[in-house]
Amino acid sequence: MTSLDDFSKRARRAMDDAQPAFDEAAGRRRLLAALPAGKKGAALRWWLGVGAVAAAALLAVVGAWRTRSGEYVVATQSAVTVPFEEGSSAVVSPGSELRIEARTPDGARVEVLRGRVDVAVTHRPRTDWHVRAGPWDVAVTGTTLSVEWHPAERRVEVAVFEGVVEVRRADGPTTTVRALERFDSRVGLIRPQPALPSPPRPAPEPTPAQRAPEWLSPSVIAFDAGPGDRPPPGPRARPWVELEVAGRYLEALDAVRAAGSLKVLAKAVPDELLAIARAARFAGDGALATEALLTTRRRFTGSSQAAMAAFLLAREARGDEAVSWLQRYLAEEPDGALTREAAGRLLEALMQAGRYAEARTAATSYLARFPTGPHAPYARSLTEEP
Amino acid sequence: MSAPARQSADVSLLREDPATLVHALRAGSPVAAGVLYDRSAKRVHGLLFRMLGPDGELEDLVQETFMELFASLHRLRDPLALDGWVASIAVMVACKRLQRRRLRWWLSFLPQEDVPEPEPVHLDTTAGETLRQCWKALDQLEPRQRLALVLRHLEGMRLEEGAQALDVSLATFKRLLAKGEARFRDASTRFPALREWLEGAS
Repeated sequence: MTSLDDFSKRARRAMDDAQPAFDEAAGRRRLLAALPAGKKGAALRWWLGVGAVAAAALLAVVGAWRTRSGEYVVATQSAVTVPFEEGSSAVVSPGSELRIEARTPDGARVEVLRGRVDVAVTHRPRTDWHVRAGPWDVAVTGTTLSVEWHPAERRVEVAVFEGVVEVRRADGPTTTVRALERFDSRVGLIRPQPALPSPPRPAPEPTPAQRAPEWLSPSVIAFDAGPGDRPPPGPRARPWVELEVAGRYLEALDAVRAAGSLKVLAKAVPDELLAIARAARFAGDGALATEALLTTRRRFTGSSQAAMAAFLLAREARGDEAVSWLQRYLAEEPDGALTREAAGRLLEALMQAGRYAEARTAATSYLARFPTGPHAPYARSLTEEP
Repeated sequence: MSAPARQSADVSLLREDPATLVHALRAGSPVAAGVLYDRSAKRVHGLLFRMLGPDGELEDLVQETFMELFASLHRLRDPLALDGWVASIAVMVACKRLQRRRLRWWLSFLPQEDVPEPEPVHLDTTAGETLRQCWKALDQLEPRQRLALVLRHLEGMRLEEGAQALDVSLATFKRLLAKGEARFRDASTRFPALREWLEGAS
């Protein structure tokens, strides 16, 4: 012990007593208010990367949790489901942020600040539902869709699963997007690609659940029952399938539970399992969604649906677990519909897991295969890091 | 689970798990920035006060610390070392401040023992005069010697932690500390109240 130790204790106590008052709240407000208005400095560059929208939203965080309008939802590790009084719901994907500007008896006004939000809007006579993303406004009148906003690229993607929406930019033209179409602000309206070739084995007539948009998930369409499994029953025998397709997720889930979740999962065919996982996810039952996906993996090993389940499980996971699921998807579907997406997300997951060297290697592979892919700038930044 | 409950859970996660917080900060989450401020602002304020003494710009320096922190977060390799990272940024900001003070003194042609305090702040405590003398004595030290002394003896950091916060090797930190201690003792001979404390201690 040095002779300064006793002095240190005494001085420390005296300094604690002498420390001037610190108004944390004022400091917080000042810091946040200064950021978007600043014009120089490395810190501001960081913030400008986030975008003025996010910075402005930060100001709204204070107290926003307590109010109904101006509510702020951030999903970090798992998806967050937000129910609305008029029956609609929104699912905020991990890593995404949503601001709810207003809830009304006929709808809501929400803003996607970052990432992806899936919205299932219940149709009403005077539905007034709007999803904003940057300068874009999506008017919804009863449909199921996803809106993805990339602030750094100022890019919006709207995918419509059911119904019709109108996408418009302030002072710009309006684009009508119908079921199975999507809108990308970089390229405009994208219609579904022609149907894929028939699967190797003859498949029965698809149930409504299998009529997913081709550009999203051809593997879901290509029904491939495992050995020993019964052919898919008609929709009436599986009421949750119809309900899920109609976007009535809570009712679909109730139907599954009424029939006995474990029993249903044990007997369901692959696409049905994916439909249950989807309904459970949208209805906020993450545990059942995960169980349905794991069951798909277990019971239908080697199928395209099992690969899809791996991709979806990665979406709910992070770090090493996400890496593992994405690697499995890529191994099982090296040329799948979501291979590019999975390869991109793998970079993010590896960085999240702190596996920087592997992330750089994966980034090099990504750039070699998808030089103009959506994750290319990110991959480039990883390969250029010292 | 209801939406507000889920939101709370996610914000709780940001508060409790540094890895999640760092991930969210790197991803540009404004909520995470607020959480980091709530988590660290008071500590940064205290740290700066002990390193610099009374300073009319203390709250500006807290702001500066967070700005630097956001800008440099990409260099943080281990998210679990977030608290240490915050301390090291505060130390860097304090070091710059001390260098500015010395520059001002140099430009003013004053003798070294008359390095002016940035703004005289009245310390309304019984030990106020001793503390004032303590910081006057610290003003005689080179900035890095002073910071090493404060981190070790007033902040109570271990040698390794101090070295990390000052961004120097352990050997360098020990050398700075030894020089700082010697010079502080030497300077204290000119300040009776401080000398009394030090003699009482030894």
